[in-house]
Amino acid sequence: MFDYKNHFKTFKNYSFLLTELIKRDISGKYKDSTLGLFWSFLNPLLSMIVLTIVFSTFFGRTIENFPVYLLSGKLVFDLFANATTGAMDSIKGNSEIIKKIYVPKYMFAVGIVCSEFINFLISLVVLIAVMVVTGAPFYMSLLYSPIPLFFLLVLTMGVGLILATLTTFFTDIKYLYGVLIMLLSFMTPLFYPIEIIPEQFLFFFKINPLYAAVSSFRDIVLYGAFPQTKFLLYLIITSIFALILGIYLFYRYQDEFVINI
Amino acid sequence: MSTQMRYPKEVYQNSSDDGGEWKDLDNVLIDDWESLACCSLSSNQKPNSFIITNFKFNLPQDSKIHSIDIRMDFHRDSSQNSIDLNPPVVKLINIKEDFESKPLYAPTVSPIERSVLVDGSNISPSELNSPDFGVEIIFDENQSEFSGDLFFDYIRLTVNYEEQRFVIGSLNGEGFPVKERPLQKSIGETFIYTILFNNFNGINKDPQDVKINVPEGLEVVNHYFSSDKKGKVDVNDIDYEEDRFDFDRLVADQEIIYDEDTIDLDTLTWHTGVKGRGMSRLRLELKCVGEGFKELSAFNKFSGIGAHFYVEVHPEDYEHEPNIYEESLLKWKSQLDVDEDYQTLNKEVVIEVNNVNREFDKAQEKVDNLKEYVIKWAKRELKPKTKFKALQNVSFTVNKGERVGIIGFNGAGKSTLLKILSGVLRPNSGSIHINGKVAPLLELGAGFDHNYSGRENVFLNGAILGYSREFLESKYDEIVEFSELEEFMELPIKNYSSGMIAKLGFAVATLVEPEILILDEILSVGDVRFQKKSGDKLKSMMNTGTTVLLVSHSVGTIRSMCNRVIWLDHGKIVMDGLTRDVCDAYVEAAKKASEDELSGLDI
Repeated sequence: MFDYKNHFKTFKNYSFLLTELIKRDISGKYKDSTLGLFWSFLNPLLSMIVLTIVFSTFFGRTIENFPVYLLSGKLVFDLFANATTGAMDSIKGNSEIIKKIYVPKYMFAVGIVCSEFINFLISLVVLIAVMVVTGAPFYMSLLYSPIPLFFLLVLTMGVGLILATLTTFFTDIKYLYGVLIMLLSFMTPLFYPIEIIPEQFLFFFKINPLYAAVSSFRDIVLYGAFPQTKFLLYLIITSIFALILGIYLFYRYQDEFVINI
Repeated sequence: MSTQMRYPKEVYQNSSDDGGEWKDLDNVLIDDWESLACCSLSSNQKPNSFIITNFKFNLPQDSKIHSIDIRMDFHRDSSQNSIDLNPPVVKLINIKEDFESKPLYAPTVSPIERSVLVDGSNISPSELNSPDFGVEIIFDENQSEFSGDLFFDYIRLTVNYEEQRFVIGSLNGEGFPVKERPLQKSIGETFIYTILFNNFNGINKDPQDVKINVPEGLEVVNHYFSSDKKGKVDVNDIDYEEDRFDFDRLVADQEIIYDEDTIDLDTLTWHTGVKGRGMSRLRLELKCVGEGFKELSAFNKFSGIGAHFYVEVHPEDYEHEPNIYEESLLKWKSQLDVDEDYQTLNKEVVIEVNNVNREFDKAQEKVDNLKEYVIKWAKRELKPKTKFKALQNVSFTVNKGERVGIIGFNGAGKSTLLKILSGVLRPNSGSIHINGKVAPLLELGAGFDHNYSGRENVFLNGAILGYSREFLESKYDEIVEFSELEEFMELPIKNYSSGMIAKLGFAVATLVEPEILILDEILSVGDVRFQKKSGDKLKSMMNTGTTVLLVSHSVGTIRSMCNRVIWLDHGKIVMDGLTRDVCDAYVEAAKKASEDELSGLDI
């Protein structure tokens, strides 16, 4: 279906564009703020403090080390939410360029996902700091963490490409997705334990691949264990499926972007 | 001064019993780093000498050779105990002469740093053009006590030569009378017309003949030469210069042979008097005896390129292209048309467009949000979209070096075609092949980030245009210098004026010497001075053999810039041909076109 050799060559030719786009996305994220990149630390830290104050009274007793539980889930979820939203806007946002010059269009989506991932890596410093402050143990299992993070990235990329394609044809996807992200944030056990969900609804939570990602990451960070196979496997399958679907849709319709944006 | 560079086509070795045998000797014909010829040598053994031939030079017969630059690469194997050889002797030879190698030139030229410069003043072009011309490489014996390998990578010859140049001109260098600039005479009137023949660099010392075409309706009443007072009838009222040689241009050692001009009045062949560097003049006293347009011209079988160069006489309805003399090859176009080698070399197709179609949906029916889509779907109102065909079965090829203008009324599909060629749009069907680096100058500064400094934007914009970091870093100073924004490069461009942004965009967009230049209108940016500078830059880009595609609303621009024009109308090619023909037909058609189609166009 694709001419791999040619695509690889194009990618290599435009690799400098990718780094420039990542640079632009990162520096543009907090461009008008005084603290700049420092918000990458401050943002998760402040929201963690607020959520901990609010929810630890409810779940503090059932969840051991609530701040780390919350933060490890929230960072993962925020990466997905921010990167997919960014990728969704990436085609329309760069329409001035796409309409006028030939550039591999996926570069814009890949660029924003990569820059959000770098932002996520920066925020991990906050997680480590909170773990130190709360006296959480550092397990050897942390070495496994690249595995779920990689597939999270694949999932994000896939969903990002799907959304980028859809939103060029249907503008209102953007608003619909805002609502969907909110729903997803409640459907993912970020600040509550999964045990509080009644048995009959559990199925709807388990089909959410983000739940699999969050829980795999928590297994590693919080419980010092290799992620549960069923979660990890589900994450891998859904992420690869999303990526293939994303690439398929993107390539199928990318030639029509120009006339729709 | 011209140069020709050649890689040879044939190589063979002189086998001898004790000589080292070359393996993969054919690799000498290829210039890359991987394929080498190899010869294993024991101590005190000599490699076989080898002969490289068939260089396929096509130097003009009368050119004067200055030097031959021979470049080659050879090296021993890299082990510590390796062979030790002196550089080889390089001989220029004729391989067929008396069935044995005959030196063409002083045989012992030892290379210094693998390159030999041979003085070419004793060598004639025909000796180099001959398929029997060759280069022999003779290595000395291995002086080391060890045995090992000798590698030979490639050999390449570059010939520097000067070619003859003649310019045939007419009175005061204004050119011969043509349709646009006719001589206006009434019947019975006589007038004097001067034809100049200039042997420009004097290499050719043979007498030159110039054929003069006097069209019907003009009669030669008399003729005379500026240097030769014979045949001169009435010259009291005509001033002419005595000098038929331009002495200022003479070089001290240039030999000048004076001769007399003569003319054969039956065939109107002028045997010019100039030999060596210099100029001859012929004045014809002509009488107008018939009405109508008359195109006067003169030509010579070697005649060079010049503004006053006409090769054939054209009656008014003459339709063929003029037979032009190809100066660099010393051949007439009619000869080249049947020359296959020339065809394959020079008809290098850089753009090939095959049956390209592109449709757009009619704008008013566009459904761009989900709500509307669902509602229409539910009401079964999603009609099959009506298509508007922007391009229909467009096919053409562009050869290297052509400057193609694209004209057409509004909505003809010009911009769509450019967008397809620059890769922004894809055709619905059909194919496009582009061979070479394309610089689409459709938009300046696309993707500039206003919070970025000028410096950062150079890199961002350059990246969008597909350049690498290393390339941009190496060109950065040039860009800054061209844009004249040295002091502002560290400021965010939101503080720039729009003129400054355009200057920076232009500087980035034009930093390469592209093989194919795609232009939507001739860009002019900045103040008057910068407009001139940018115009000059574009012209210099267009004049270096770059293939140019230009869309313009101004027929005048197309006429001055292009040598071929494609006329599009409603997505189809109406006409494709020489600029003058197509533009004339287009202007004619424009008179009948509607105002809508013509708004904004400059016919």
